[in-house]
Order: sequence, then structure tokens, then C-alpha cells
Amino acid sequence: MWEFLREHWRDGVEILILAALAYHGYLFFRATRGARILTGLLVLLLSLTLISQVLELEVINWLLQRFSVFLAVGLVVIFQPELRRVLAELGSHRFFSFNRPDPEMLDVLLEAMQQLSARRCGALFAIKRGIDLKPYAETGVELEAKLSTELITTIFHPKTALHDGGAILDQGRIQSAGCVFPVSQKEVRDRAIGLRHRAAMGIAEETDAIALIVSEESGALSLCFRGKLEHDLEPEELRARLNALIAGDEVDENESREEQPTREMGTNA
Amino acid sequence: MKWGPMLKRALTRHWGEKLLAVLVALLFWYMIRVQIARSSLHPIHDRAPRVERL
Repeated sequence: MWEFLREHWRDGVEILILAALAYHGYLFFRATRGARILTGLLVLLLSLTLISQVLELEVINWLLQRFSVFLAVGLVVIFQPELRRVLAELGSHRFFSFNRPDPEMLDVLLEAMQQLSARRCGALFAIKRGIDLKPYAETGVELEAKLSTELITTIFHPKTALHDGGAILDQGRIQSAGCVFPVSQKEVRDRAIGLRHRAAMGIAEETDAIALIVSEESGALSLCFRGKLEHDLEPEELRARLNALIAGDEVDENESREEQPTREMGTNA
Repeated sequence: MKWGPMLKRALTRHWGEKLLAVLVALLFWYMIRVQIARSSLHPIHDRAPRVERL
């Protein structure tokens, strides 16, 4: 037994590293639009490779080896948005210092969102975390103003110039308002999900920002993180989710979301 | 901070996916090992045309 371990411990380490890569790759790609394509391709390739090796089919082996180059290029094209997000996260300072939103800011923000909801005023916010939102902030009007309920309700008043766009929040301040966010291309079946929600999904797909939405039509409060939309949350639910995200408890929030799949959208695409 | 329950939770959370990842890794590792063994049995220079000494 000891001899076997001493001889094969490197194999064990290699398998463990591969397993960790496979597991984290799965966690990362499972909610993306290319997840099904990736699963199908992997199953097909693994089974073909296994069959060709067991039966020593040299032509199939040769084809698979040549095909792997095209596959690598194809995967880059399919997962371009996801890879862009990973690279952006690697390039951000999130790994070294957590840029977490100020908890006091949330009270002001939630109060403002409830007021906007009661008046049926649509609103869209992106709370900055690790990835810099400057490219999106530049599409709007720079404010650099301290966050307050009055300011938010004024910005999103339907008769003001800045109401038709998103506001970027950073460390208790409104960095910019009237910003244009990228629109998500995910397939969403619910007709209540309009362009504002799609823009929230877009910014949450491309960056690690937390997007918050107040629906103009129904006044519903929604949250979007990592491209997943949680629609029509109660104010207390929204507060709990935001607190969990700010605390960096992303694994636990994934689990809690799995327990209530009916509210979640944008994951089936 | 209790390490025992934390470790247990880390291992049992998403256990199905973790087991699948280990199986896929094992399969992948085996296939690469077979390829390495084959290429060492048939190195590239063996396939190159031999130059006859004059």
C-alpha cells in the first residue's frame, strides 16, 4: 500500500488538479448560454476519444487530434462574453482588495427604490464592485454626488433628462447617471422583462456589478448578478440578497437561489 | 472557526458535480497517459525517412 502510494502520488495530484479545473469550469459555465453546447461537445469528444483509443481506431484518432485545434478556436468564439468577463476580473483589483459597497448606502438606495416603486417610476442602478465601470460611466453624465433618496428620486423622475438610463453607484456616491448599459441577448420568455431589465442583465453579464431594477410597469424590484435576474423581490428579500452579496457570500447565495427557482430568470438560455 | 464541519460542508456541497468532475478528470488523465505512452513508443523521428549512409 505504502509502496503503491509512493509510486503513484503524482498521478493522484494530477487527477485532483484536473478535477478541480473541471469542477470550477463547470460552476463557471453552467449558467451561461454556451453551457449546453459545451456539454454536448465534451460528451461527444470524450466518448469518441475513448472509443477510438480502446478500439485503436487510428483514423478517428488522427481526425480528433486535428479537430482539437478548430475546437479551441470555436470555444473562444462561443464563450467570448464569458472569457471577457474572466479576463476583466483577473485584470481588476478585486483579487487583492475587495471593493465592497458601503452598507449604509444600501439603506438609502432601498428607501429610494421603494419610493420609485410606489410612484411607478422605472429605475436602473449598477453597484460597482471589482471591475471598473468607467466605460459605461462615460456614456452618461458624470455626477460624483453623495447618494441620497431625494437625488435618486429626482434623477429617475420621468420628466428629467437623466431618467432614461442607468445610474452607476460606487462607495456611497452616484458616479454617473443616464448611462447606457449593454443589452443582454439572453432568451427570456417572460414578457414583463423589458429593455431596462435586459440592460441590467447585460451589465451583470459583462462585469461583476450588482444591477438593481425598478419596473416602470409594475413597480417590481429586481436584482441581477452575474447575468442572473431575480425578478419581483420583496424589499426585505432584496435587502437580504444585497447583504449576502456584499458580504461576499456568493457560494451560499447560489444555493439559496437554487431553492427558489421560480423567481429566477435568464438562466435557461 | 470549526474546521471539521467546514471541511465536511465543502466536501458534501454539490457532491454530485464534484464526483462527476473527478470521473471526467480520471478519464481525461487516462486518455492523455495513453497518448503519451503511444507517442513515446512511436517517436516522430522514427517516422521520418531514413538517410542511407553512402
